[in-house]
Amino acid sequence: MIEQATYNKTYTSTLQLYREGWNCLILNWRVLFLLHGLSFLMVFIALGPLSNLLKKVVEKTNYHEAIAGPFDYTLLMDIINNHGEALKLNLTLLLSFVIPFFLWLVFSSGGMMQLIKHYPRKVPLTEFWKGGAEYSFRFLRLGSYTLSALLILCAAGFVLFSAGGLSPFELESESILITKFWILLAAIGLGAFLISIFKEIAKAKIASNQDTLITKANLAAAAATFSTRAIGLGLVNLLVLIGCTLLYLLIKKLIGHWLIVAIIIGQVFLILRMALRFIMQASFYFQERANVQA
Amino acid sequence: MYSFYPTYSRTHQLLYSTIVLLCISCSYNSAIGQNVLSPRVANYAMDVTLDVNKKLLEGRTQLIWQNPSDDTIDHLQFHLYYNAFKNTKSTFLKERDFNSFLSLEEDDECRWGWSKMTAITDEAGNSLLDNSHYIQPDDANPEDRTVLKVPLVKTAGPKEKIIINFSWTAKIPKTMARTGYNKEFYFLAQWFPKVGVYEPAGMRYQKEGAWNCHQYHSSGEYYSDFGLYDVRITVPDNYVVAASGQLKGQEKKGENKTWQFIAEDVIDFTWSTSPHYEIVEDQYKDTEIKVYAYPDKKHFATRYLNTIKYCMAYLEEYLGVYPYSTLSIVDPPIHGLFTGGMEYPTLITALSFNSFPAGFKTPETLVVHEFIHQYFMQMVATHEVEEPWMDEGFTTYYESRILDSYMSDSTSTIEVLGFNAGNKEWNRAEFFGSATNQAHPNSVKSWEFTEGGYGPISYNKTALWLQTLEGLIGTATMDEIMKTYFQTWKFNHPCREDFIAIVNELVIKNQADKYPDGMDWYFEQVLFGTDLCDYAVTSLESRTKAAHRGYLSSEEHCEIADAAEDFIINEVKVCREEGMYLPVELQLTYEDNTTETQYWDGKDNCKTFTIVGPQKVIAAEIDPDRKIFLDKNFLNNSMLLEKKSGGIRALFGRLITSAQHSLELLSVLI
Repeated sequence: MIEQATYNKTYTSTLQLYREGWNCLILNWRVLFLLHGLSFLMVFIALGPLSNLLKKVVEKTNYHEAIAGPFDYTLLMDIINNHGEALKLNLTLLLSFVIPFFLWLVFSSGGMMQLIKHYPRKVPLTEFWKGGAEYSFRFLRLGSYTLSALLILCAAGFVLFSAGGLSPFELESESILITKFWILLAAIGLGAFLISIFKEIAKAKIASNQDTLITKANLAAAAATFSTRAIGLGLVNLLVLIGCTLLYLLIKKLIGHWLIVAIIIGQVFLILRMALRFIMQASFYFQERANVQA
Repeated sequence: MYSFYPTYSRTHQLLYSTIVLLCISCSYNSAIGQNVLSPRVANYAMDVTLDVNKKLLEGRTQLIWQNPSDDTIDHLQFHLYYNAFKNTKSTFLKERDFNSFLSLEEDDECRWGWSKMTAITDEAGNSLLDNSHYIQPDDANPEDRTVLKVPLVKTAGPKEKIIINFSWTAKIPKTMARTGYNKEFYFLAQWFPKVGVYEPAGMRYQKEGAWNCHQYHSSGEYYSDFGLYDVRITVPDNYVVAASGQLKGQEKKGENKTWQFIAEDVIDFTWSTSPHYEIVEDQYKDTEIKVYAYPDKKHFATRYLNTIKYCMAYLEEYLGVYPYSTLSIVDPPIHGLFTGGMEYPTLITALSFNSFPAGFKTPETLVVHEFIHQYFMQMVATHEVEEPWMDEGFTTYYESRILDSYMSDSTSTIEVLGFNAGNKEWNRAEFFGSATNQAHPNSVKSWEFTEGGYGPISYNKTALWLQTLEGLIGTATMDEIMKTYFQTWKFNHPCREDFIAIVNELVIKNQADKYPDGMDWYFEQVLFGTDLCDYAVTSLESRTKAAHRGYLSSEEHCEIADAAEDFIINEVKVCREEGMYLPVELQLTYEDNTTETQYWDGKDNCKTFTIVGPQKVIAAEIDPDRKIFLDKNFLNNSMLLEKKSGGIRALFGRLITSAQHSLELLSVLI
């Protein structure tokens, strides 16, 4: 059995924590292939029937190239209007993959946590599966709390949005609604950002404390969410994600209709998103570990 | 200057009547012999006062009506449209699912409206009110009070002009279909008692003269005679009035102001008022264009004006000149939503939403659509209730032509975040996406769309078959047809037979080789039938016939003929998948990329084209130029000899990437 790393290190800044997250990722880079591979496989299976349907409809017609070209409304609507039922079935199948994929995300989060806990020691990927098995149920519960919190946030947003009525006939001007919408969207965004910090701290505390019940970890995480360091670390993670997304969108715009290049860039960005997810989890764990050791 | 208040004496009223009569007679008579564009059958002088507290209109009208027939008329029929909103027992609200149409929640104020005549007299002063009564010519619904029959004491002889004076009161409904008030916004459409149309024998479908005055139906719109309107509108001093016709003057009286408008050669008069309107003005040749908008929507004016000026130039070139000196565009506020997107003589309403990306072309689409109605239903005054396709369909057809040429045929409806659609393709998808697109033929009356489909059939289907007609007969002939139709029937009341006659005449003149008998066969399908159209290439095969072999040149040696004698047999099978038949073109592409076009009358269920020659046919396509826009499925119009999977693979790659990115979003939860 591989011992968990005892690693005494203090971090004077959030950037140090973030850099440590990167180092941890570099040490465990193989996990990205696992994450990406599973994601690809699931989506490949889910989209298979849709691909076959489209193949049957267009591959022997003059639309065989247009199907992958710039957006063509007539083409899309002819597919919907003439093959709507089959399309609906395929999309239902695709949607049915949401739950297994979410469960996989929960599992993989546990697996990543196990790898992170061993940092700076490099451990075999079998630890990933072990970690997944160990933390899945607790992380699943945490996920349900996160989902509930987000739903409550959105519901509160809607209640506030619709306070005073949504009927256009009672409004003096739609500008009121639009202003309200943007303010609430910003507020929900802020709330979601805090929830994501809470979630990462909670995961770190669950992994540190090794409690079966997660209530204590959640309460502690809720209190820690508003600390300057936690918010700072969350911001660093968020800003890097935003920066990468903007860069991706810029590159995508520049490459225009070079489809193959676009797909490759898209896949690279996807792997980057997975990497950033790993780094965020790692950086918050290192913060928690530093706090415990302090 | 007169104002309608009950405290005025009989003498004042008589004096007023005389003045009004003189005024309208002067303008009516002076116009005759000048530039009179229409047969001015129904001419109105009206004085109306808006009571913003009681939401009431108090009006007095002097109608000069000319009997257009050789008949002797013993009664008049009037529309009292506001009675459709009197209660839920009206035909209008019975036909419409008012539960979904109106909120059933109790308002602080009563939302309902009504209209009633308080006095009717003829020129001699005979009261006509007592004998008048409501009739229900369409559905015998005794609760419907939208048509009033007024027997005359002195009949109207052939071509005789009669004068009828009437006072009326109307309670304005809170904005319902197309009209009403909400907050300080007022939109007054179909607001006054309006005389119906007496159709003489020979006009449209009439074998003998009769009144055509339908009840107000939920789907149908209107039908009226041309005339001159001299309207004085009294509103609170701070209110701005937008109206049909030209503003002739304003007069302040205490806390009120009277606005006078004159509209000539129009079939209706509509107005709107609010203290919040701001006006943006522009000009197209001799026409003054005004946009009336609330301050927060004023920025849409530039979009409206640029689009409208393009539209006016387009229609001027392809149909004829817009002959009026004014055009008003009203952009209602959000609480006046129900009044947006409507057409009235020289006044149209748009609809816009703040903060919607500019890529949503709804404002452009609506002003173009409503402006085209100035031609089809205002100048060419077809019966909107009985033949809705003749105005809505023609308008939708031109809407596509204009918007697709103004912007582009792939972005003229929407262009947002990589999602784009042109107007023509949007309309086509709307029709084929509708579950009720075969519910009725195009020829039924508006209230006969009992199984639904009024919108997709009257608007979209008509536009589609006009586009297909253009494809079949060519744009030049189509333009000639539409211009001839407009020029022949402007300021008149044509029916479908009149349009069909022009189509047949010009098609036989220009395309006798293709359509020697005209296009009746086409109208029988698109106008009177419900069949859809779908042609498909169902198979494409190419096989090499082996060279001759055996004892060819002698009986001593078996031999095989030279390869040069080998030839290829290509078989292309095309089928008609739906009931409608149309002549179609089949384009064949050979290995060396040369093409050949074959023709099929499209009548049989299937036809196999066999082409024997030295080359393989590598692709076959029906209607390669997309002339048949009525074809419901373009995907099956072509077939390749060999599968080409590159595009699908690329798409699959893109779909996988997008799906992975979407699923990755779930990580926000964990």
